Amino acid sequence: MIGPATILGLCRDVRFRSVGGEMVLLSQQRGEILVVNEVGAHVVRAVDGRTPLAAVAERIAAEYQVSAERALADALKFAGQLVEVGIAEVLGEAG
Amino acid sequence: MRSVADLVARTWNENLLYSVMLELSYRCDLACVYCYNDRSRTATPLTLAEYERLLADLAAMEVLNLVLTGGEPLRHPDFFAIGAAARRLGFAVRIKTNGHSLSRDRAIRLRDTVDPWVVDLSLHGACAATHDRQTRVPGSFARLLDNVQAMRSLGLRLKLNCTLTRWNEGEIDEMFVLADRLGVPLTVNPTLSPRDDGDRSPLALSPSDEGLRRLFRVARERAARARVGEGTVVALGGDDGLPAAPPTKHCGAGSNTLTVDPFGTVYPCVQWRRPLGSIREHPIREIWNGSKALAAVRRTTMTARDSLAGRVPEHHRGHFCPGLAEMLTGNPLAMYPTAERLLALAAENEPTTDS
Repeated sequence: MIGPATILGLCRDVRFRSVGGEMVLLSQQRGEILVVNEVGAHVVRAVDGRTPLAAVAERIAAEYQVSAERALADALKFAGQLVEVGIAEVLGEAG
Repeated sequence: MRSVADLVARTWNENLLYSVMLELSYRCDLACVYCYNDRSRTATPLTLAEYERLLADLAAMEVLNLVLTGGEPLRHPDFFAIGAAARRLGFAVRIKTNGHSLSRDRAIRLRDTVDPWVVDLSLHGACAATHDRQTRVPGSFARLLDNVQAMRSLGLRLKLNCTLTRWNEGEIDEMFVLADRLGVPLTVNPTLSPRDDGDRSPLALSPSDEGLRRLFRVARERAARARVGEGTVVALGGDDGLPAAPPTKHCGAGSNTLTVDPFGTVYPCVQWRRPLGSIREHPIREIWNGSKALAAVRRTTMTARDSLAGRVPEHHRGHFCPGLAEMLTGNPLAMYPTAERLLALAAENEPTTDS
C-alpha cells in the first residue's frame, strides 16, 4: 500500500533521459516507454530511495503553487502508476 | 496525453538527438554475401578513451538509445569496456550482432556487464542450408539457435532481424514459425543496400516480386492476429493540453539520430553515408549544432516528406529512404527502382490512399 511515508526507488532496469523538457523512461524488462511531463519528472527525480512521498508532495506544492492536499493526492496516484508499470519499487516506509 | 509517437515527432521536428548508432568495427566472424560494410577501408579506429569521451558527451546531450553495431560489435577488443561505460552513463543499449560468438559464458558477461535493453540477432533463413549459405560459415545456423536458447534462459531480451533475399524468400513463413518457437520477435527487412563503397553487387540478391508479396501477406496476417504490439507504450503524467504535432520530416535521419563509424566519422544515419564531420576534429555537440551538412540533411528530409505527400500513403512512405536514394542516384529526393517496386507491391491490396 502506497502512502505518504512510502519510500520508492527506481527499478534497476530503468533508463531515463530528459528530452525536450519531458522525461522519457524506459522499463527495459517490460519494454514499456513512458513519457512524463514536468511535474511527473519532478516526482521521478525525487524517487531516490530516501525521500518519503509526503516530502516529495511538499516540494511539488511549493514549486507549482498547488495545495498540499492536491499535491499529495497527485503524488500518491502517480507513484502508484510508476510501481504498476515497473518503473519504481517500494523500498520501505519512513520513520 | 503525451504518447511516444508524439515524442518521436517532436524529436524529428525540433532536432532532439535521441538515438545514436556506433559502428564499433567492420570486422566480423561471418562473411554474409550481401553485407553493406566497406571492409576495405583503412583508418585508425577510435580508441577506448575516445569512445568514453564520446559517450560522456552523448549522455550530456540526453541521448537515450545507444546502438552498438558493426560489422560484428563483439569483435571490437574493447566491446565490454564500451558497453560497461554505456551502462554506467544510463543509456538504453541495443546490441546488433550476428550472435555467433555469444556462447553462454559470453552472454552471461554481456548481461552482467552491459545489461542491454535488447540484443538484435541476424537470422538468414529457416534452415541451416539457407542460413549458412548466406553467412558463408558452415554451422552458423546451429550455433545461432544454441546461443539464442542460452541467452533466453539467461533472461536477455532478444529480437531476430532478417534481410529478405532471393535465397530465403521461400522460407518467410517458416522463419516466423521458428521465431515463435524460440519465443523471440522477428522483423524482416525487405530492402538490400549497396555496399558503403558504392558496390551494387549485393542488390543481385534482392527478393523477387513474389517474395515481397509473400512478405507483405505474412506481415498483414500477423498484424491482424497480434493483440499487443512489440514495446507497449504507456503515457503518464497527465494531459498537457498540447495537440499531437505531426512530423514535418520524412524520417529522423540527422534530426533525432546519428551514426558514427569505427574511425569517428559522423553520418545522419546508418543508411545515409554523407559525412557530417569527425569527432576527432569536433565534439559531437558541435557537429550536431553547427554542421552545415547536417542542416542540409534536415532540410532534405522536410522536402522528402512534402514531395511524397499526396503521392504515397503515409504508412508506406518508410519504403523510401533518402540515404539509399542518394547512394543509388546521387539525389536523396529521387525515386529509385527498389522503392518504386516496394511501394507498388505494398499498395496492391490497398486501393485507397491518404495524403
